[in-house]
Amino acid sequence: MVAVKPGRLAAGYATGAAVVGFVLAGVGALATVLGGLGLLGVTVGSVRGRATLVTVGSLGQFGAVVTGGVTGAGAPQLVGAGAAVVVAWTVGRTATELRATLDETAATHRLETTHAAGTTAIALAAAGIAVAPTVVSVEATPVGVGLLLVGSICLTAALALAPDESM
Amino acid sequence: MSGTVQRTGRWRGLSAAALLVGALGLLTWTPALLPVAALAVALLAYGRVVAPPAGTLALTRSVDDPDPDPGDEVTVRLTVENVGDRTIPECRLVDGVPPALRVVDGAPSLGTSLRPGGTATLSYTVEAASGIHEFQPATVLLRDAAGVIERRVEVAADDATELGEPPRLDDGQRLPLRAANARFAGRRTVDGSGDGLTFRTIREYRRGDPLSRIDWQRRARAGELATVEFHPERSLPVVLVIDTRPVAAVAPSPEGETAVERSLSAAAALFGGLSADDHRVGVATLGPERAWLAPGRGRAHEQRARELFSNSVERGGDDGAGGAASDATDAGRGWLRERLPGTAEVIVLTPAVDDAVVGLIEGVAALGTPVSVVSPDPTAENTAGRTLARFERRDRLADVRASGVPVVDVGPSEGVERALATAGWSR
Repeated sequence: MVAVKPGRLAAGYATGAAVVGFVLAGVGALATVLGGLGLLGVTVGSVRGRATLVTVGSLGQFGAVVTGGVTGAGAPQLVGAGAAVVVAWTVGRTATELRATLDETAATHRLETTHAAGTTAIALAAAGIAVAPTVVSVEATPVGVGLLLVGSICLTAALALAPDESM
Repeated sequence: MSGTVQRTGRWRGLSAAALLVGALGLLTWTPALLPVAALAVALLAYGRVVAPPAGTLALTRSVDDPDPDPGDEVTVRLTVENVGDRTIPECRLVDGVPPALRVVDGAPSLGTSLRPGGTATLSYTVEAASGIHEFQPATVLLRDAAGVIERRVEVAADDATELGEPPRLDDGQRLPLRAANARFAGRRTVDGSGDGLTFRTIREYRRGDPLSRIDWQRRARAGELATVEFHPERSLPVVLVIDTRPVAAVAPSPEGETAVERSLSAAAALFGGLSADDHRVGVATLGPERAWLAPGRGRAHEQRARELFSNSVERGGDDGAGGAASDATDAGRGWLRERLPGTAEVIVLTPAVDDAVVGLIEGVAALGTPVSVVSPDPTAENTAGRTLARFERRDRLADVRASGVPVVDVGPSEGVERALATAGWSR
């Protein structure tokens, strides 16, 4: 097997995911510019081992998703773009970590492929859950929408703020 | 093997993004943004419920030569096996290579994923150094597939936990000692007569000669009194003081031996040479964990000295090890003075890279103890800063010489043993 430096495979995969995010979210001029800059950030950051740059690039792509949504992109397209951005962010950060923490000649290809595949599977599963309600056609009532809104805010806050009991 | 579990913070900010997208979707009447918020919430939920992989690992280490000579290249193979029944998606492992051993080929680290029963092997080559070197447990990070939670464990290998052999003391180096008035019987004979074991002459009896020295056979045979004389034999208690402080663990190049390693090699050689001359040799190390071995002789004593030299290589190589015993301004002067026997001669092995050790040398010399210095030079002059460090060291050694203490200055590329073999004390 050709020796690949730690993080290189992950960096390539993160770049690919960022390209997918860019293509899906690039609806309109502003979204395209933001997505392009984000793609550049993720690529350079993951290849050069700069975690902050990867995060800033992902933030740019996230901006592209939001802008694309406001411009008029469809929900499945936006969710797909969002999932791609999460994959690019996660795998890109892993690439920088591997580069920083392991020796240059360490064998990491198995870790990188498993991590990329695993992260993609998780993001796709989450995207499936997110898109499912838009596929199912329901008669929405104002009270139902309001309750759903309050519930989602509570759930987000609980997931973000609840004390961790597993440790 | 539970280790410590912590979240990696990989998705920090995702909850803010979820709330932001949801709010923007409501404010701009964009329903398509709400599923994006739901995506983020689903990922947060995953991060909350996922458990870290169990630390079900077994390590097996093998080396192709367990007792190499210093400088030999030894290949180390470490096999990691998942002995649990769950897949470990992400396993990062760094072997606990002894600090004194340099990795010259391959990498002592590995990143892999392991199915139940799956194995992965890493292989690397180290350059053996003097002494016994103990492998530390490998540090392993186990993460879930997305890397949002991790378990950190230290796993010791079953086999090959040590590499190398104790430094040889038998064929050590001789170095002229300074003390002229040796007072203790030993194997070294001197020109003169007195107590000892080696026959010198028989002379006429004088009043006051001890009865045990009278040649009674001659008295029986010839009827006259004569006294047997022996060569007096002298030996000295000598204490080798080795500077193993972290500040002394410096080398002229990243690949070079540190001054601590060179000092310990020199100490092992001197110990062997002095012991062979029947001197009673003691050892003191000035590292973070100070060690004291009172002057003595015998196999058990040599064994303790060997262990001390081996262990000190490890401790001296630790980065930033600054224990309670370290005192930057004192270097252990008071500690040493409390222990030195009044009759001992002291040989200090130090790179002289700070003023504290000079204070120690001068302080011991001020007690009237004969002191000598063996100083491996760790400086280089490829940058202005390094050249300055070299000049500072020369100044320090000049101060030491000015106080009447002889110095053997061992050049950066000079072998310590060779330098000792050709040593003349320079004043």
